[in-house]
Amino acid sequence: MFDLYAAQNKEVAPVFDAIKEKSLLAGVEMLSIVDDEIFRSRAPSVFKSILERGSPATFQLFKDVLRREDRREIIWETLLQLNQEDLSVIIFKAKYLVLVEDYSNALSLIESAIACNAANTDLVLIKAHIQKRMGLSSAAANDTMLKIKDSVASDKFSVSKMAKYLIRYGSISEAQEMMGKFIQKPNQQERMADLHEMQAVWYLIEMADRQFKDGNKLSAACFYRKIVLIFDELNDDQLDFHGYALRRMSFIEYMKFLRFLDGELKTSEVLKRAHIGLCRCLLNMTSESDQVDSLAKQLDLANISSQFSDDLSALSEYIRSLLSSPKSVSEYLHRICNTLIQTHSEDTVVIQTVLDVALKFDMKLCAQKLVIKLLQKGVSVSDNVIESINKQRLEPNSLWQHVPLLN
Amino acid sequence: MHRQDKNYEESIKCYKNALKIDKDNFQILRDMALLQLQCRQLEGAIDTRRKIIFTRPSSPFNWISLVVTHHLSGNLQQAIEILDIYLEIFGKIKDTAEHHRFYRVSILMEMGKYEEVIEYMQSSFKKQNTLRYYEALGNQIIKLRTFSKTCCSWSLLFRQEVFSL
Repeated sequence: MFDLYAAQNKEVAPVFDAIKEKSLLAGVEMLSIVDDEIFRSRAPSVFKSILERGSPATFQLFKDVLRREDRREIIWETLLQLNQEDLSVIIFKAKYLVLVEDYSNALSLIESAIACNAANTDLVLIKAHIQKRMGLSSAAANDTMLKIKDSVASDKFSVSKMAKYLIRYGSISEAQEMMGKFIQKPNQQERMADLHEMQAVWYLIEMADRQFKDGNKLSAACFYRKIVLIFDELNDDQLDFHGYALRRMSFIEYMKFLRFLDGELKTSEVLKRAHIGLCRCLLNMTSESDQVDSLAKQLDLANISSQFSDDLSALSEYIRSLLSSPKSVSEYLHRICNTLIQTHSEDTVVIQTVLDVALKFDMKLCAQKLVIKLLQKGVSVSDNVIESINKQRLEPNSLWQHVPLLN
Repeated sequence: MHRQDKNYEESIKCYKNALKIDKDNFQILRDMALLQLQCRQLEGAIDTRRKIIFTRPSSPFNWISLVVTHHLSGNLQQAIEILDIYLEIFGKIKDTAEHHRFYRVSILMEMGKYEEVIEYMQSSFKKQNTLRYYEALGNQIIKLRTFSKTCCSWSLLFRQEVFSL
């Protein structure tokens, strides 16, 4: 066995070269853990070799490396030495400029590339992404995407991006028709049923937000609730794995799995948006104010299958049953707010939402703490809110215990 | 019934009431421990797992479940100690001890005890020229992003061993 403690930098460099010869990807992986001397000498050649292959995921491969400013500069200097007309170099440069938040230069670079390569859908997707980051009018990003609508029909990734934009700013049925082409079912009814059952949470959250913006709160609440149920199901499914993983002795993977459930799954951005959306829907609905005859009329669907219709009916019945009793709405919202505060206690949107719930249900102590938290974060609170809190009676409840104590 | 309806907390309460009548019932303890883990009531799960071991100390599954519960609740030192007891008692069972040794290595890496990992791997693993042996070490170090010279050169040297096999 070799002497580990005798290993010095000069011995590492030839080892790094040997690894790089066998596998370029292993070389890229090594770049994120080698020290500065090796990085300076080896990174440019690894970077050039990867870029020459023209892989679309080159930027993703180097994301870990690009986190450090000094290493980022070395990569940038190497980039400037390459052929600037090459498409992979242009794409990498544009993504790099977005990373360092130089959006105007990124946009002008991409626009000049599009002028020479109008048919390239990757460039158009990057342009829409830059426009969105720049905070330009959402219509600008939408217009950009619509130009490539017909040419992306065969690419799943591009279609999903297109569908997102269409749902956000355009027509739902057009988006669903595009996505339906990738679902192997004989008719549109069954394709739609599949689409709503395949737990594509990115699609469900876009639909929910669209319905909310259109004022269709019941259908928005149904979609938000569907997302929450999906995450609950993912969490509940672990019950089968406790015994199985231990019997199979896959302890390391089992621990990673449990930590994923406790970490990334609970703090998922989509779940947070779904909870916030549900709060907003339920706060603004009463059983009388939202008299919707048929959920299908609200949704822009050509036909719906009976299975999908049953699912939506069950969801809307659940929402209606909640609304029929103020106590059940209050309890349900308390549970959601508890979850939100536990997982996103520093998020101002979450704090604002929980404050709205607290104001609605006269939770004075909780509301006071949340207002102070918002003010500490530099978010202004209107005098009306403070006045309404002062008017409330003092009533202890379980929610306030989860609001972070103030120093 | 509550368990089928996914009311796990109610189910745990029912099991606790059942234990007042029959406090050493293995089946109740086992099911309750499972649900406590599901609901992340980890202190309760640890107590229950301890009781299970007192009831059935000869089953390896019960010991390893206690180790995992300690690990999940962050009691890494206790997890290591119990795992060592487990390996002493059941370590001679073929084909299983290696999985547990790799698991012990991962807990030590989490505790940041890199030196101890090296010593342990050199002394306890019989087969030291397997891909899994090197990958376990290399992957752990890369994921922990240790930039110190020793660990960096160590992982690269291990990978060299892999490629020359």
